[in-house]
Amino acid sequence: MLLFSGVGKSCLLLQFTDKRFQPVHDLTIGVEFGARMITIDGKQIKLQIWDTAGQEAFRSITRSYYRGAAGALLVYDITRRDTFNHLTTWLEDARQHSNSNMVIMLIGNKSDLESRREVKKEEGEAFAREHGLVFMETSAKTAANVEEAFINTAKEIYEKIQEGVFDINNEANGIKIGPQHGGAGSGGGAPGAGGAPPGGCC
Amino acid sequence: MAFLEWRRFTFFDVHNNLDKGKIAECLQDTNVTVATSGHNHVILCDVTGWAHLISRSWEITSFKAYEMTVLLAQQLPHDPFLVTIGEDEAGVTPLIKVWDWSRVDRHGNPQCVRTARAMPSHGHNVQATALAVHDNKNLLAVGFQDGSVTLYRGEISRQRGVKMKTLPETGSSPVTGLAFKGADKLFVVSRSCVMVCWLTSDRCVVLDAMGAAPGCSVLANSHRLTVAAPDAIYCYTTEGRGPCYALEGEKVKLNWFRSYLVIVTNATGSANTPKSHHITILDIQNKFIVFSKTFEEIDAVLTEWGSFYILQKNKEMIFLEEKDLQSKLLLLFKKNLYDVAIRIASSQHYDVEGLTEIYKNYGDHLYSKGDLKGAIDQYVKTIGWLETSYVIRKYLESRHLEPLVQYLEELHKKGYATEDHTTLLLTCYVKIDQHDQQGKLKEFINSKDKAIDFDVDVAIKVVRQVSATDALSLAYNYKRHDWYLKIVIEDKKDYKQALDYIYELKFEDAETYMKKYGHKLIQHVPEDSTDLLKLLCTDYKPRSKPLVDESTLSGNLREPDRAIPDDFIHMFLSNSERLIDFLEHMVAKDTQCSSLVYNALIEHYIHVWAKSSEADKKIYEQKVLDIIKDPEAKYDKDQTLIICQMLGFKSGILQLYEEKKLWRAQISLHLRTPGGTERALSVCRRRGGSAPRLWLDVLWAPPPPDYLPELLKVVAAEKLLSPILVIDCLASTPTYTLGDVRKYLTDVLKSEDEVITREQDLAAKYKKEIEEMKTQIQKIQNEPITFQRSLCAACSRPLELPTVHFMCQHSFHKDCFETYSESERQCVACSPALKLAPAPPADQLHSRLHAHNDPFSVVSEYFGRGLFNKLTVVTDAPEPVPFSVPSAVPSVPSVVSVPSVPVQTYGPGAEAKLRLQEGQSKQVYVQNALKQIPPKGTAVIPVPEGRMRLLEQHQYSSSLEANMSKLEPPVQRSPHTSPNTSRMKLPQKISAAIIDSKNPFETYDESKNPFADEENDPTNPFAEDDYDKNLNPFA
Repeated sequence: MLLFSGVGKSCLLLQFTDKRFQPVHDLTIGVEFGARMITIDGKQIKLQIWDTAGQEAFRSITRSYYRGAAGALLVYDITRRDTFNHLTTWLEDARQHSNSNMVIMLIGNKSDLESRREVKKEEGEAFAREHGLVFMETSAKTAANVEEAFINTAKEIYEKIQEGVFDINNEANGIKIGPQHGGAGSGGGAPGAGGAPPGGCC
Repeated sequence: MAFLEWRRFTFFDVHNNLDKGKIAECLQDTNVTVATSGHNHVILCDVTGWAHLISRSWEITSFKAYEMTVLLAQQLPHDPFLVTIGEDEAGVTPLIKVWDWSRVDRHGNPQCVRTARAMPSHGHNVQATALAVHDNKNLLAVGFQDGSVTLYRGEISRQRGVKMKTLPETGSSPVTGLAFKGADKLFVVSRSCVMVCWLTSDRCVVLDAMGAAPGCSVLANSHRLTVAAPDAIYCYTTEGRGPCYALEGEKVKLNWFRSYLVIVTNATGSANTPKSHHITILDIQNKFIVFSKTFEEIDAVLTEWGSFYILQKNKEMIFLEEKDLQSKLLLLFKKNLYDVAIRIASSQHYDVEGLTEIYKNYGDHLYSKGDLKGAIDQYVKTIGWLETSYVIRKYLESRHLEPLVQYLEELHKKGYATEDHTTLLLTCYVKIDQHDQQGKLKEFINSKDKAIDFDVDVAIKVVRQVSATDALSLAYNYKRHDWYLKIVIEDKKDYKQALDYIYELKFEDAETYMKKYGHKLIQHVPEDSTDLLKLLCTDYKPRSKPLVDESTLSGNLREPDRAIPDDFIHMFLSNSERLIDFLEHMVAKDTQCSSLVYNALIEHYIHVWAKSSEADKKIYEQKVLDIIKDPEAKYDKDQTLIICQMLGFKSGILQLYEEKKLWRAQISLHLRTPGGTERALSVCRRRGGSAPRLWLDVLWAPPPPDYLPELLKVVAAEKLLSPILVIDCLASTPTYTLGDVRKYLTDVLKSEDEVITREQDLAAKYKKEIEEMKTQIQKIQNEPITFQRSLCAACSRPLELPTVHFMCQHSFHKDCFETYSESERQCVACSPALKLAPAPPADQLHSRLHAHNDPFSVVSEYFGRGLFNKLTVVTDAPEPVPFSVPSAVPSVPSVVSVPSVPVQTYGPGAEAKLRLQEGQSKQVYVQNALKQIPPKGTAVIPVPEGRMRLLEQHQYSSSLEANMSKLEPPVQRSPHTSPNTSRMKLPQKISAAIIDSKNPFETYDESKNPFADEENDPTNPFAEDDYDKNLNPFA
């Protein structure tokens, strides 16, 4: 398999956690990490996000991060068809190594570069329908849909928790109730869900 | 290779053999089992149970810690405590020993302050594999081979009071690493997993089911546990996994120092080569490798004294010295890795100036590569430090406009923009708009919230050159009234709009801008502008403001804002009609108008009057006169007069002359107009009583012959002019006939004749009297006199001896005479008759001359009273004058004494005058006197001031009298009667000196001349210019 990187995962993460865009970014080597508190249904939720390297060389490392994740963002680059073509491989990989209930969202990034678009929005939608994913196009540069992408994922996870799909006592699901023994607390003692959606890539 | 992607640099220099072999010598052929450092020392422990304490200057203190071997050791970073675990006997539980090396025991070794057995609570004898001591010296954890961890609480340096417990659920694989996170958490790393133990709740959480080898876990930045696995370096927080760094290789050791992670891996070499280790130093923050080198087998990596030390297996100490920031940056610049340089510099808190320099270099680099946009991003970061022109010059070509705009916008946002920058930015906008109609300028103008901070005035100025409409809306948006009006008036020439705009303004602004632009507005829209001005000067309110605002409703009476009309008058310039309209309104509304308003109103009335037709003239004339007559109107009479005269507004002039009591001017005006004599005369008749000179003015005109009789009558009656002058005056007019003046002349001649006759009679009478007196004198002198009075003239009783007889035939009792007499020389009965009326004071001469009808008589009176005469004549030859001189020796003493009286009278008055005129300091006066005296041939005697003044007085008098004596020879001498002859010695000499000189006035001291200063003297009646020569009898 070829090395596919540069679809903008790190930029998405940076935009979501720091609200800034850095055009020049070193390649992710290993896994980067970010966290942000969000509020869903009046509950404080801490999202821990791992940003994995896209290169094949790091596949073994990143794979270990699938385990214990409650959700994943699968990102492709709308200006590079090859990244879209390999989504299936990544999706299989993710499903195989993770909890079967993991929420997976398909993200078509770089929507600001409309002029260089190679993958139609409809194609993305079709792929998502076919595989039961949620689809969204974002732009890390203009911050369009970035918040929504993360928060929607978090919401899906939250709903699944409410439905009881996730066993919140099983930490392998990547969900932890806010610590009861001091430490970084969530507001008002309300249980917070720590979702951990790693961004996948093709 | 997986770590292709990490950038590699060499930020460390390798120095070998820093200790000069001291360590090798000390350790000889033992092996180092554990190395630790802290508190400025490095501690090496070897297999033989020795511990070596190494100071910075490589001085080694060695002591025997254990009998057999030292397994683990940790030196506290800030205290001189060393905690070791070692074996004293084989197969016996290892001992924990705490050494305080600041104290020494009797052998000179560091003191062992505590010894404890290191074993888990279940009591089995297992090997200790990990040791962690908390910096607070209260917590100590030991990990064992069987996976259990024992925690010791309590002061580590004390033997007693320590609680020991074994943590639960720590697994069964050997513990390889322990690290305290804060005082309540402990990271436990075993061969099979990474855990965190919550010490307060005895709970252990597995973070990852992946273990690490001994030495391969370290607490980075004192909060994140970093664990080295063969494929990557994983980071853990107490909550779970963190990032990971892919770095392949079999890790041997992991160390943390500042933000560097030091990784020792087994070098992958061929089997034949000796074992070697590879050291990689990772900059976690900036994510690149800062050092990478393969060494021989490494025993320990020590981080102390601000850098890394590597102890090789062969006991060689290698020092890795970090390069300073400057050389690091240089290194990066050489590789054009500016972004990395910036990252490093900012992470090391490099100063702003230095950072700016990097940004600039980066910008330059990008620019030279043609990445103009990228370069501008860098240049933008230099704003505030780098000279902006440096950047702007690079981008001045038109194809670089967009980056330039970006730069300039940033410049404005950051508040560093100057006028020129704004200008340039706007010019760029204009250029861009010309090319592709992006409407940037519009966008810019309409950015109400001022997204870009710019100098509005400059912006308007620039935009105005391109598009007045845009500039206008800009001015409107930012309330730049001045600009708005300027553009509307000068560019748009829409005066109406300007006026409407002014109507909306607040009073102060409206006033200011009306003052500024009123002139143009009045020129173009006179009616509307005048209306606005009227409003402005009475009770102005912005048009948009409600008629009744809150403050009025709440009862506050608003003081009306009103401008002063004076400021607007000049704007009307030639538009007199509008000005009159405006001013009339003002005068009607406000009686407090200044004189300027009235003046202007009058002036323009007259102007209009001058231009208007006959019918209208009347109206304006009446208007002017109304104002002039209005006592409330505060116009300036003089100015109005000038205006009237300039424009020939006669009725006004006359009215003003009347007001100012300038009858003469009035008359002369009348006389100048043809046929005005009658009116002139009527003025004379009205005012002639108080100002007789008016008649003369008419006479000099000259008037038509018809009016002469009346005139001449008045002249004659009032004696306004001497007949000669009248004749002179009349003779100059050729039209008069003798008939016109006959009556006058005959009257005059007649009266003159009468006077002459009267005078002659008088003269004859006086002559006769003189004759009589002479005979009487003769009689007294030559004939005997019989005193035959029998009655005392005083008491009218019969005379009794002793008696006093006077030649005037009065006789007295001696007692009576003594009672009544003032001087024994005078007859009491005659003296009242002889006493002259007191002479009028000399200083009244001028006023009397002025006031008197016949000045000559005044002068003669003064002469008669001897005021101009000093009769105390002193000659330098004081020979006794014979009595026989007939005319000079009056036998009546009273007569003789007369002259002395005026002297007294004159003296003090003259002195007073002198002093008044000199009015100067006494000092000056004395000096003058001293200076003046020597040329007159007198000895200079220092005289007291008082005397000096007296002396002065005499001097003055004598010079006058000397003059007199020249004119007429001395006729009266009475040295014997002079009361002050004895005191006159000095004056006599002076007088002599004066007489000796040819002309006493030549040497006369000007400073003493009472009349010398008369030109400057305001009281001088002669200084008056309008002194009427007709009244001067000497003319």
